[in-house]
Amino acid sequence: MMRPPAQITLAEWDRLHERSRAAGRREPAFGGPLGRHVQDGDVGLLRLRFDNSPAALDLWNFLLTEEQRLFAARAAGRAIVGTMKDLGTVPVMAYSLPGVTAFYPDGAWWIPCIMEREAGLLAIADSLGIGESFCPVRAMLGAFESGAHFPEPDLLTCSVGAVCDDFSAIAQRLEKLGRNILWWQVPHRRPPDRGEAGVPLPGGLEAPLEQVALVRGELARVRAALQELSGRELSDGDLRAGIRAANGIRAVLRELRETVFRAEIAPLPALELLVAEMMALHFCSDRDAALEVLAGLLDEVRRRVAAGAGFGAPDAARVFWVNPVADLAVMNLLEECGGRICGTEFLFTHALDAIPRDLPPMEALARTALSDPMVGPAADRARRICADARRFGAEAVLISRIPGASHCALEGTIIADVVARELGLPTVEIEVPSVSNAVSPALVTRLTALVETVRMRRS
Amino acid sequence: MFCIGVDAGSRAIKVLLIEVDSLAIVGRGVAGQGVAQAELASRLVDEVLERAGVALADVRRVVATGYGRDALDLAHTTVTEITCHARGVHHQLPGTRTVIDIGGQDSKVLRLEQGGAVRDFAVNDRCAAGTGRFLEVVASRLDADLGDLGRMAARARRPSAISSTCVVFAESEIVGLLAAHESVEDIVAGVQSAIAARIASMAGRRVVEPIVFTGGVALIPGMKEALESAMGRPLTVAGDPQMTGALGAALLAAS
Amino acid sequence: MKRVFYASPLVPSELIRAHGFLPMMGAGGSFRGSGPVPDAAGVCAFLRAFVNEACASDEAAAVVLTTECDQMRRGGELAAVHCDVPLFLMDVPATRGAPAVQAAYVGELRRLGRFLVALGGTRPSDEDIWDAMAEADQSRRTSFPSVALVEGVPLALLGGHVSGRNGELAAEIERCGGRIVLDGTDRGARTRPAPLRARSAPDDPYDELARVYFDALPTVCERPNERLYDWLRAALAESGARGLVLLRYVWCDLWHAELAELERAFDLPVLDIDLCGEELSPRNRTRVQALIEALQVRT
Repeated sequence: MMRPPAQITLAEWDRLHERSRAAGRREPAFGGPLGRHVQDGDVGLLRLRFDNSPAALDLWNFLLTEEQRLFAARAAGRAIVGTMKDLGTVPVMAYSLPGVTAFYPDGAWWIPCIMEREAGLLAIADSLGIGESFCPVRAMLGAFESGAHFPEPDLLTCSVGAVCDDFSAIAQRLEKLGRNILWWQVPHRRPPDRGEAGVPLPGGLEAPLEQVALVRGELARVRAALQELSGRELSDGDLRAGIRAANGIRAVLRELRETVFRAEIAPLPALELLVAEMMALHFCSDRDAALEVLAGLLDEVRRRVAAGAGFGAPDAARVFWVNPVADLAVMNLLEECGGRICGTEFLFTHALDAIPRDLPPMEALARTALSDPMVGPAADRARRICADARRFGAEAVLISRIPGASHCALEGTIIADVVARELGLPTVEIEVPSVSNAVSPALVTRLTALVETVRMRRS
Repeated sequence: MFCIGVDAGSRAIKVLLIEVDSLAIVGRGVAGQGVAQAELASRLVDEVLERAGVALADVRRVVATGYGRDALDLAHTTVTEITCHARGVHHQLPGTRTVIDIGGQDSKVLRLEQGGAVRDFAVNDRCAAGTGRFLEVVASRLDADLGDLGRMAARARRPSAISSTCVVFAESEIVGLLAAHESVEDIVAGVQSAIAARIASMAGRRVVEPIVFTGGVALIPGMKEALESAMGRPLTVAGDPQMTGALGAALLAAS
Repeated sequence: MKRVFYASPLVPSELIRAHGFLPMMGAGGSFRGSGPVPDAAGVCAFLRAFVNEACASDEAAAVVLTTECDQMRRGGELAAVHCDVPLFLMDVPATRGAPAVQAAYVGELRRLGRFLVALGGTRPSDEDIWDAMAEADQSRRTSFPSVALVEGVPLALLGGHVSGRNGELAAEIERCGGRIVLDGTDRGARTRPAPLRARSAPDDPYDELARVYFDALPTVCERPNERLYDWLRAALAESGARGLVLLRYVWCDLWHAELAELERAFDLPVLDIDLCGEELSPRNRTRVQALIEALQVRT
């Protein structure tokens, strides 16, 4: 039976969980009260408001048990691959092999907001010369050095070239600290010149044939490294199966997003949607469980839509959110300020699009990698944002700047310009640090002003 | 014969008079900075000399340091405050290997060789967030005295997280924290932690003990503890930390 | 002759010249006029000055930026929209060694050539390009770096788009009692192209350009950037520098992130000079003076 949707505190969730358990609800192996994560040190969870559905609880438990899964994978003798920066492509290859677990060390950037203060990770990064003028992903350096959040990977890959400067610099620092990194080149995506052979990419993009060929060759190097690590061939058949499985998860996510964004009342809060989308990147280190969790969330969302239930009023301002946030608590502010999520572009839309099945697998993966929004012009991102915003009926665009991220200095301007020109929607930029308590009033002011602007424009 | 060290800092001018042979301090003075730096410095030097009963003609050499050093025509030589602080600390505490100097508007971490010479240094001189100015802003905003900050921080239960790298925006953060009913004690502790964290970040992994803490901010209660916590190492506060730069300048004048 | 403005040492000036344009390498961050790139937090002062100056120039036929850094990529996007001067964004790979990657660089050189022809430039033959390369090579061989006649504490410079020898920094270093014995900035010894090989037909001039530039020049943005450290190690040993001055623009993550490693890798004091423009601020002057004082005391 569906309970009325609400955003509740962690303490309220634990009480609800106790009642559910007493009523006989079965949970996955990673299930349990959220409060246990707080006891493990994730004190930042106390600041959040959670979706009160069992499906959302599964989502959170799945996310918050990833570290345990990674260490368990190491203990069970699985090969651990740390894939950096490409956000969605290499894990598809890695999970095509038995006995291999892949994850993004980049995800450590959320540890400071989830754990007590910053868990010391940012201080470690400071001591290594990567201070607060760099992106919060510098927490990854601290996580590698502390060894407390994930096992030392057996293989580290990192896409490089058309990536952001600070991640490139941080990864280079990591190498200087003694890690071997397989760097693989990704070119700056551009449309084919006149007379130049081009190929279509997922997401409606296009690139020159030679760029796709370059990426295909680079991914072949990654493939060879994965084969060497696992001691087994990674065949085209394996890759096709891996692509099929990844596409299954991507399909669920696409439907989840479409259902949430198009609903009259938002059936899922912005925070849970962000966490759900992140599952596309490396499946939270368990591909099968990720599919189950997301499928459960989709079921819940469908039930809510059918019942006309959701969060906030039907007239909540429909906001398109651009860029992920270093502090998850900020996502809660959207609903608190009278808005609702109506479109997202968290810098990894290529991990949500289907990987082509009608191409040789390496060709398909190369085209997918090249469709990464970071790899091409910000104007490409802006065009997709506009297309989606139009499709979902967004009324405003919120661009979240990541403090210290080199691409954010000008990208927001470019995106806002395109949005203004093509859609005429109000746009606001906010900057979200890893722990945003103290700037929360300023963020609330901006979000509230955006919502007020939307309402005034309606009349 | 005597020598004089003048530290023309951003907030105050400090003058130290020493006897050349014994290196004993025979006079000292502090005055607020102003627009007419040369005149202010000159007047302060005259006052120090008069109190010490020393004639200007008996002063062999004057070395000036600090941001305003080049504006002082009474100085024979100018030397940077980096060199002077190192010299001053080494004189007081030979064997010091790291100096942390936090002034009103800048902060420095100096690494010294065994003999006291500067090996290398890092300076934060473009952002007030790691300086005494931040503490002044906080004290003013909380209606507190700088001298009370240590007591307040000691009563903190959970230091507030201050995220801004800019003192101007940090002031807005403090307003926000007060509105969110965070205690003033937690806020003060948070600010001190933020300053200490920035210093620790600047220091990186270059810190070698023993570490000496100097500069005007060393006089503010709570800051030593905050720095020790951020760096995970013990610190010694220099004697008369506000005058270390002037001391170093005077010693260099005498050498 | 119309000018093509460029900033990266990996853009071969002789290729621009072979197409009938005058190559103009961006001089530094001193331009203060307005333009498509705003003066905003997080925006590199060099990028802003370079792009805005080029866009404001009556003599600019084109601006060539590279993908070596995020700032250039995004700045190029803004300029392409808001500036009438045609812009070419050259994709410079970050990795080295793989034939496909070098081929990608060569492909970009050819694409640059097509862009210049489309602008009205001449379409050079391979022979024309070889001639331009030979002329540039000869010019480099005969322009020896000036020998420092002053005494003083020997210092090495390292950094990106800054003028190492000229300008206020060199003057300040000399004023304080130092001298520059190694210029490892993007305008110095580090980015001196390799000597041209004796040609044997039918060598492709573009392949030779790749060897002379892409293969030869160690940069901070390549991954891994071990070549930069290898070069610096040898150059420091040869120069006898006793201190290293890292010149970087305030928002340049790539150079900034190397500071800690430079301090660790070399047994030298490393001075961090962060620039908001080309001018040397009083606080940076103090830093320079302090470094030289420290080294003088240790002499």
